[in-house]
Amino acid sequence: MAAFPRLHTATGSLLTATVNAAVTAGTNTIVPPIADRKITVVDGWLRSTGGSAGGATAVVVEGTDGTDVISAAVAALTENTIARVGDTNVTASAIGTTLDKGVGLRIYRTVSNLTTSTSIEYCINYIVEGGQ
Amino acid sequence: MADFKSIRCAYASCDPEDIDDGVVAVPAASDRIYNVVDCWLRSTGNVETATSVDVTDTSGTVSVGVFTAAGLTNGKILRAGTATTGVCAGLLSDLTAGEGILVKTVGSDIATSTAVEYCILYTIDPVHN
Repeated sequence: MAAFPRLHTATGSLLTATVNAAVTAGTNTIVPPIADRKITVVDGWLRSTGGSAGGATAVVVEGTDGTDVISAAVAALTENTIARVGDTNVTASAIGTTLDKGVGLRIYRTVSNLTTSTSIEYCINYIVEGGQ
Repeated sequence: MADFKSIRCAYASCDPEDIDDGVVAVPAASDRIYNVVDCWLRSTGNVETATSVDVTDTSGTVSVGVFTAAGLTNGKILRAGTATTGVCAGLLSDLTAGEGILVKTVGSDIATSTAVEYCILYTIDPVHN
């Protein structure tokens, strides 16, 4: 890894329907996989807008290979509340863990479809190895 | 889709009198659009008499966040998104093209505090004419 890695950020908002969409559709990808790059997520937050998150067990930031990186239980995603890595009900499963080469990031839900929220805002900070 | 966007950081420790007058944390540039993705403030000594310290665009018309005096107690890092005291509805919203980022007291001048630090993480997009 570079001694002074540059910090990158993926920010935006996904509609609830997009979060619920099958991962094979690729519409919930927030950082595209690039063959020769490895991503390490170092920090981030999620925020539900338009209502408190319901229905699902959690909203997760995961590698495009399904590796769980951040898991925010719906209890943490009340309307307009920023759910940070390290907060209660926000599990940082793979913060600081380098994902496999060629793996991007996506946002998905677990168990059941997300309901009530209009969208999920995200801010995911990460570093990149290779290809720069 | 987001794609390898770099993040920038504006950090400074300021005299509260300068915060009262307004500190330009990131200067305006006519060809840039800023987007604050995260931030925190910390005071040395409690912030008293002021209502809040706000992060806005340099015209003061677009609010990124409001950090209330009640949350700016001595030595405490008050993060964006903290309920009630650190409400930042404007995170992830593009500021007006050509505007910078301002940190400024709202209400009376700050008393008691001897320094106010800010750490603002933001991205830059070019203005597309």
